[in-house]
Amino acid sequence: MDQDIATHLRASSPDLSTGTRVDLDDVAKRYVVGDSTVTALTEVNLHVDEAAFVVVLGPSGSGKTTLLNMIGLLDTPTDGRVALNGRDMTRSSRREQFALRRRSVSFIFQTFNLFPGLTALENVQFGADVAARPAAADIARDGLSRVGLADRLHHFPHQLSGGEQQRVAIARALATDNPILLADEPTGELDFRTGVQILELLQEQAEAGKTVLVVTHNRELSRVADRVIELSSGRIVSDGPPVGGKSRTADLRW
Amino acid sequence: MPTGSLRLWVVWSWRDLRRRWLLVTALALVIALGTGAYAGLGGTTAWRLESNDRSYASLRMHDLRVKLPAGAFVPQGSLLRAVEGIPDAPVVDVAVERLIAPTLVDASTGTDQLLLPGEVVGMPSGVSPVDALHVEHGQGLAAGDPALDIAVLEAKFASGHGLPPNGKLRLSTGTTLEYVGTGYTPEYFQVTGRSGMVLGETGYAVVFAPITVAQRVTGHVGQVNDLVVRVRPGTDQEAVRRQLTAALAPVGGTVSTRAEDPVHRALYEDAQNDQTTWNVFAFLILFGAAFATFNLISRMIESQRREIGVGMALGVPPRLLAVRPMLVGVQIAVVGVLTGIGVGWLIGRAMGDVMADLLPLPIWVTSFQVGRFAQAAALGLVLPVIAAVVPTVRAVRMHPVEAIRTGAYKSARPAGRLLTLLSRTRLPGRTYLSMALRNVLRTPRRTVFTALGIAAAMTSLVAVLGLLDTFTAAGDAHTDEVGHSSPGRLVVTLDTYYPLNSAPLRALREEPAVAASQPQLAVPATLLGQGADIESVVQVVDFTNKIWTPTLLGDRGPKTGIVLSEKAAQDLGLAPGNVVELRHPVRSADGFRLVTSRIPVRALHPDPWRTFAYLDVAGAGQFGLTGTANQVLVMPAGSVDELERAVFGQPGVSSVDSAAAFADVLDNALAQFTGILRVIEIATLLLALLIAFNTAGITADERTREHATMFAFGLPPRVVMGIAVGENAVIGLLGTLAGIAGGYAALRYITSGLGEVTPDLMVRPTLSTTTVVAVLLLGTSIVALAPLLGLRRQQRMDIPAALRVVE
Ligand SMILES: Nc1ncnc2c1ncn2[C@@H]1O[C@H](COP(=O)(O)OP(=O)(O)O)[C@@H](O)[C@H]1O
Ligand SMILES: [Mg+2]
Repeated sequence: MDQDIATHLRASSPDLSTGTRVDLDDVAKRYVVGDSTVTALTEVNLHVDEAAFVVVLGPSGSGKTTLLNMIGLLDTPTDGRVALNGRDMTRSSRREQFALRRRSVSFIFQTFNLFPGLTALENVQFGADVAARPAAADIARDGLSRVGLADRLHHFPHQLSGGEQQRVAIARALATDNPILLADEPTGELDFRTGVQILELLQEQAEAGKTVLVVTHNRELSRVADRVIELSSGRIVSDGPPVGGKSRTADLRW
Repeated sequence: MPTGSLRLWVVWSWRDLRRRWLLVTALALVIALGTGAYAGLGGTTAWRLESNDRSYASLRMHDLRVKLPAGAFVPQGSLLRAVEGIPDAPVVDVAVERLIAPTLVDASTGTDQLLLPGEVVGMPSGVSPVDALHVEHGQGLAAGDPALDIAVLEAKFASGHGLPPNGKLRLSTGTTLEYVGTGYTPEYFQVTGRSGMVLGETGYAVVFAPITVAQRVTGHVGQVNDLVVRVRPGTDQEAVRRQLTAALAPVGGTVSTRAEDPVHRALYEDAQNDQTTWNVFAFLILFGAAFATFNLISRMIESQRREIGVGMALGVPPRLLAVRPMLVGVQIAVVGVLTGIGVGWLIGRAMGDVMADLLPLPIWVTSFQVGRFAQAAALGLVLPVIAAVVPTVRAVRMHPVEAIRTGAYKSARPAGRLLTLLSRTRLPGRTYLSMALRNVLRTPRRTVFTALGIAAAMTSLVAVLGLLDTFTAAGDAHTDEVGHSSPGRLVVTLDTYYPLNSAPLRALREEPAVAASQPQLAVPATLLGQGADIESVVQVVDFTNKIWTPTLLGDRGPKTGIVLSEKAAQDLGLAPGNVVELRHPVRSADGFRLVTSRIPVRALHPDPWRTFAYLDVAGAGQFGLTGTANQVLVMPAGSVDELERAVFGQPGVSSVDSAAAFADVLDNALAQFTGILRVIEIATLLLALLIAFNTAGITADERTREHATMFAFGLPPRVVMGIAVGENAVIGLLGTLAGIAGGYAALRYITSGLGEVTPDLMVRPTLSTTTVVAVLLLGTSIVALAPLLGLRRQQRMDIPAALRVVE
């Protein structure tokens, strides 16, 4: 994308301090469908103060995606408070929420959600562009070679396999260079070797000072985390370092 | 199929409908407009024929009419005696003598001066058994005492000048008439003025009066010059005609039939010819709607392909899978046709109102055209279903794996190549635009089809506006030619041919209100051609005069040759240097007789009216009229009003017209025509709007997930909207450009057929710059701005839900 949009977005963004802190206080999310109420999240208290590699573990339907959406300000809680860097976002304006999404959080979606009309390179460039980073094209090229797709720059999403699309999605999120990274089942579509590569990449991000939240139903992955939060039926049932201590990615098996 | 699963399918399609009721409704409206316009625009011929029949019958239009030559009168009763003397007298039901005398009419009110040529029609008072008077406002001729000078003023003249239903009229003979109402007889359903030339009804004042009154005020006491006859139904009218012609030969009377009445003929011919023009529009709108429906329904169903693929993977029989998409087509068809009947009725009503306004007849019938409606309805039902069948069959035929894997965007190869090219070339300008362009290019087929739908709607809009431009251009061409010098001049028409040194001409020359004068001759003549003859007026003008001479194009022929209009030359297949055959009167010992001469064509003139022809005085000898004049061009010394007043009533003067008066005729005709074109214009614009709205709606549906992703990355809604607007602008621009090209082609087609509707006028298909620019802006912006209608929906988008959907 052009320099133009970057300037444009920078100029229109309210001045919001960016950081790695996430606070959820008594957050609940309920859906009313017909006569029944589905509780996706309830009494969720979560505080991440500084850069960390956090794994959110839970079976399907336990509310993991909903939790990520809350942190990413895509969804509003039915109850409770969501704060980024100490700022209560449940009360913030739409404009602020958009700006914060550009400057603070980036998503890696469970379903990739790449732009079908843009090439791999352009999809990644889009990430750098919205975050108003200069030299977006170079960042994108760099990012794609880091996920092993240097030779697929000009391919469109439909020309890529699921795993390759997943990697483009990861590269796109990294290209924003935002302090909080939210990944929904990022290794779901990947074979073991690539999965490990991606995990290492995400770990590097945490080591470089970002908050990385990775959602998975795969307990094995939680072994490499700094902190594991376990969800069950929308509730946090445990929160702490991985059982048996933090392992190296090389020791993983799945 | 078990009942339980049938319920599932019904519920499912009901859910489909609820989810996109707006789109279904909007699409149904496109069909409604297309079929409605087809039905509504299609009724005019039937209406007009029926209205003509009933109007003529109600006023008992004559079967035969006897006319004496201009200036000839016979004692009252002698024409009736001639009728009684013919062998077939018993089959003549009724015969009525009339006096029809040309005159100048002063209908000035306190504020406006109104001095115009016209005629007094003396007819039976009370209700005439032949060619009765239809009273529009006020009272008829039966009301007054025959001793009083009462009359009825022709209604179109009165309404054209905003005259009240009663008032005073002064004639050039110096007498005053009291008119008690407005109305007309069948021969004046349209007013053409003298010598069959198209004269605007506001330029010619017809006054109906009891015959005794007419005789008194025109100075023809006890005289008549006209007779109308109705014969018993089923008689051989030709025989009666022959006998009448023979009986009236001594006084030079000519007999014409009802069908030969120029107004009668025009009304019936127009009824047929007009329809051709409206049909073009009816088909254009229908085609545009059909095309758009087809394209949009296809797209709607295309997006269900994946679900169909999943169904096939699960082993659901294709027949069952086809039910859901087909139901969408049926829903659209039913809603569309039901609404279409309403729309058709509305358009028909509007057309009927305009027609009745344009052609005042005593009886106007705008009956519901059931047949045409049925055609349109059948089409409206079949079209969406076919539109649904094609993509459904395609989807069902596909290999399940393909259907599941096919993203909505995996399109034809060329797109891929184009996109790859695009991905390597950097586009200048705003990112939105490059993103928008990319979106447009990645699905070229869809882009082209959508643009074509818009193009079809724009085509009829451009054709409508082009038609108006064309007539305006013709009017301007006439005004330019007439006004290229001395635009303020007046034409004084005399009642016969006068020697140049005669009293009336001298009086005019010496009149203080006249600054300059130039006598000329206007001789009615028929240009003879292979196909059809052309009635024209040859004006013998001194080509060295200072007031006005025609512009000469291709002045190659001999100096004594005739100057024809381009249209006349084209219709006759002549060019300067060729010879034209001309039937015209020449002076003979006992008056005039018709002769046929061969005259070389000297040059052409640019006036679009083919009626006008010119000859230099050097050639006047060919008419045996050397040294005479029946018209005088005059330049007023002071105001036009002053001159008109001074000349009015001078001996020998029969009318005073501004040279530019004729331009008003076209303007008037155009103003009325505009009414109908407006109806079409509105229908077309609505269609374009609906297509744009539907396109934007479907595109937005297809892009929901993409937009949600952009929002997740914090791209502001206005940027996302900007991309949609840019994308649509490109499609709108392409569609409108194609529409302008199509519209011009349609215009050419329509104008080529206009030759029969307005044979006297040269119509050159013209599209003004204003029209092109306006349509370009309008078309592009309608389409470009259509996504804004979805703004609220975009703002209320459930982003997590949109992102969650695995398509
Ligand atoms: N829009 C919605 N309406 C109703 N229920 C929902 C909606 N979105 C999610 N849910 C429910 O919320 C719960 C949590 O969903 P989700 O966060 O997607 O689970 P996970 O990602 O852990 O698999 C599930 O039971 C799901 O059915
Ligand atoms: Mg999930």
